[in-house]
Amino acid sequence: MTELLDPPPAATAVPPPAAGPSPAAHERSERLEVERLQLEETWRRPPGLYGWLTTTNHKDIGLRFIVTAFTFFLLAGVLALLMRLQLARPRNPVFGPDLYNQIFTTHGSAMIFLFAVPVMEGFGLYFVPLMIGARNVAFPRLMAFSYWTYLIAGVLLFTGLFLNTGPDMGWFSYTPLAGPGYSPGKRVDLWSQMVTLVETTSMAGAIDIIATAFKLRAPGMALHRVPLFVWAQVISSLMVLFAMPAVTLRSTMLSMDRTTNVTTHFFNAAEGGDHLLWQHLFWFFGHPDVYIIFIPATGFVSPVVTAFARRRVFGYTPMVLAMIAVAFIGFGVWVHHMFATPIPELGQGMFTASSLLITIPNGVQIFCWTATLWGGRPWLRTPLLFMLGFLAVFVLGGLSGVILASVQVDLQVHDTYFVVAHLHYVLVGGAVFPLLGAVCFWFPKWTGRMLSERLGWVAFWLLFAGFNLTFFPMHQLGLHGMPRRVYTYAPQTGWGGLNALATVGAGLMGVGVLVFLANVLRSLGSGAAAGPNPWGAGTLEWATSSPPPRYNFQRPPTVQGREPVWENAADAPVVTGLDARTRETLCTTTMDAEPHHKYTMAGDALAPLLTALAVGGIWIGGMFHPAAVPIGCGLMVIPLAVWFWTSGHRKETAGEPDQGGE
Amino acid sequence: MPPPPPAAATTLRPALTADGLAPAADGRNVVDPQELDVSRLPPNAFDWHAPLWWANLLTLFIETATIGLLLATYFYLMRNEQGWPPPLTNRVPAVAHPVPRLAVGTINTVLLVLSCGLMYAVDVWARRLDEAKLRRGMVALCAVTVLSIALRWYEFPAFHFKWNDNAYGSIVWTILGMHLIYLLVGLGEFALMTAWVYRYGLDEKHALDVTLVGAYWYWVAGAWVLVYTVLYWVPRWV
Repeated sequence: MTELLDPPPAATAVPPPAAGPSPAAHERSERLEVERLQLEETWRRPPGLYGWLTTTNHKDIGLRFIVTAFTFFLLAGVLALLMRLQLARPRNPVFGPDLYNQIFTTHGSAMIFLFAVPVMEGFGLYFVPLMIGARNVAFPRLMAFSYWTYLIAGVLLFTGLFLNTGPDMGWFSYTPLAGPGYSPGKRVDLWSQMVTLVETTSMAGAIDIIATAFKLRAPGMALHRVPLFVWAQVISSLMVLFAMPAVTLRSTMLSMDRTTNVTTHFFNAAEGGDHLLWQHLFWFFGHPDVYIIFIPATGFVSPVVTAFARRRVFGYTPMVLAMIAVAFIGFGVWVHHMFATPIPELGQGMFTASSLLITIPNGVQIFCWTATLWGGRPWLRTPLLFMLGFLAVFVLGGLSGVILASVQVDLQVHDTYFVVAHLHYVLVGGAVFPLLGAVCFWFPKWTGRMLSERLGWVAFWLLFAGFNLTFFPMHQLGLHGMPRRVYTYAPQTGWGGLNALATVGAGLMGVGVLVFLANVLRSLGSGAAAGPNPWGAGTLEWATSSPPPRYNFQRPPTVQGREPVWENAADAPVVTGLDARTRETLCTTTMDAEPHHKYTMAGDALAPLLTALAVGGIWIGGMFHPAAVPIGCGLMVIPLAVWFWTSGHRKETAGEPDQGGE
Repeated sequence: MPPPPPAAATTLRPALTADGLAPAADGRNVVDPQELDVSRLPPNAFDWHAPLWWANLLTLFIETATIGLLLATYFYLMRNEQGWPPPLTNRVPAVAHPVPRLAVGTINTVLLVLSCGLMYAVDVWARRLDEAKLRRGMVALCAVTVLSIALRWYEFPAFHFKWNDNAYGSIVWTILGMHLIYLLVGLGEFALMTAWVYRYGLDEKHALDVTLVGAYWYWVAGAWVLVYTVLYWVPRWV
């Protein structure tokens, strides 16, 4: 079978059919049409609300993730504007300290937990199956469960804020401030349950993405032909598996410390607990999380740069190795967030060294993209423009990161606006710019319509100028000693001018986001038709129509090169012989992607939603009484049992008798 | 912003289309693709060929990280006390070094390790689709798990402290409780699969499920050996 997958010599190409509609060709197209209708029926989503609640199609859920995450992005962005409003001049009376604390904590928590991580997962769920030629993700119901849990977590956080129960202790929630002694009430509990729920989401999504990418790749897509986007998703998903347990664990510990009738003493120094334990557990998750956000973003940059440079990416292997290196080193740098705590000198030296070391693989990637552009014929459209913006801003953020890796400097600027500037350069530069570029790049694939170039350029320049105007002055404010998380400052400090400048920049960014949003909404209705491959890009998602059919490919493709749309021979084989009456797909081997066996995917179901509601009920109920946890777990057995029971039938979509019954 | 024409249209091959038919370079003819017929491939596979095997493995990565972090927390908290475990002062006479009682935990360890042999046999029967033996084996596994959970109930008091006495009590109860959850999940899976096999019989798909519970069970037993060593023996060695 595999000899079909090597690029065939030209002589073996099957002669094209005669120009006229020969009986054979007619018969063939009839057969294809029957197959297509059968696939439409098998993959159809039931109409109405029930279909909407039970769908397990990766394109439905992926887009839902993206739209929901951008909604939280807008809400958290409004909170940022409110903060800038408050800080615009000294002694501004807009907000008091209590509300201001809730606003900045919710802003940070929402941006990290509800926007940056889930939006990357959404892109992964949407595009990994398309890029590897699969019909859906490997575990469609797990993906649906992941989304519903995420939605519950997000609604929980913002409901809290609107009820004046927004968390108010900063997004990393240090004890003892977050402990029962200094933060009575439900604000911290709400935050920690939100975090546990949303990281459950991430872990479920990570499992799904890795298994899909390992087992469902198109025949011929051996490891050395896997798109960099998919590599990035797999690597960051692997990081999720090892980083997120730290965050769910320490959120649970904090909740137990705080809950009446439980009152454990993990973070209670009087009973042998330890506040630094919290910081270690938090940053053991927190720093890898930066790369969990950033590595998928590099997975956006690579395909866009490749498509618009119109050449294969420079240094494919070093790029993959660089991402893997970042993933490993990323777990060894967390203590650089704790240089202001009593860390042994040897430890300080080691974590400084690893923090400096991680710039090397990141640098390799920057050079590879630059070389790709250098050696190609760049075609400058909005997606590429955003990626160039990313390169500029991220390199600046990386530079201030190198500065912060030094213990002495870090002690001076610890908890000042210098750190705020650095983290926004890295996260906005490293994630938001590539993300907006990715939206411009793939919007035609989602909707079949093009975004407006003109509005795209306007939005980019507003965002780029606004971003630098907002955050560059913060470096200087930090060096002047302005601490982060203060709700106001005295006029004598002399910080007023730079703060006013930053507020103007934030306003520009806000306008930029509005222009971007207007572009999206306008193009949804009246954008130019895109066609399957408007950019002439080379990966498999461009080999199907825009938007793709629910089964992605009528006959799944095979792959003969890294950019199959560019490199496949004209008669490259397609996969046939899958049962169109069930959701059957082809499993290939993990390394070489040789066809191995057929695999039937689970169909639509209500069980994921019910399970997510049970999980949400457990954690939200647990805020009020510990008994909610065992009761909820007992109740959760029901939807889980239904889940197992209903996915036991192999032929479940076509109404055939199940094989298990005999 | 001068947009040059997309070079792809001329120099690069145009897109494959949704039905797998690639338009030829001149855009008029249609080249028939070769066909890779997979209809005769089997509908199931075991071990690392199965997507579900990977999901199981990746879940175990998460749980390994969880147990690792819990044990790291245990050792981290150890630094805060003069003695480990801290002295038991709420009784007369006070106990200076209240190490956990060994009996129940050790029995449970032996039970869990031995249950792996039974699990391995069930795994083999599942692969052979030997339904009669598998049914009996699964029922036995359910019984073993129930027994292990019952023993766990008596392990908590063996540590002398309650969860809310001090940080030592908190971490010990949390680790024991976490492993108790693993046992409960194992019981749930065993019970569901036993019920399925009694109701519908054994097919290859569910045989795969049984082998995966096997992998999970080996992990649960292995993690317990580690946890047992740390919780019961480290206080004796420090």
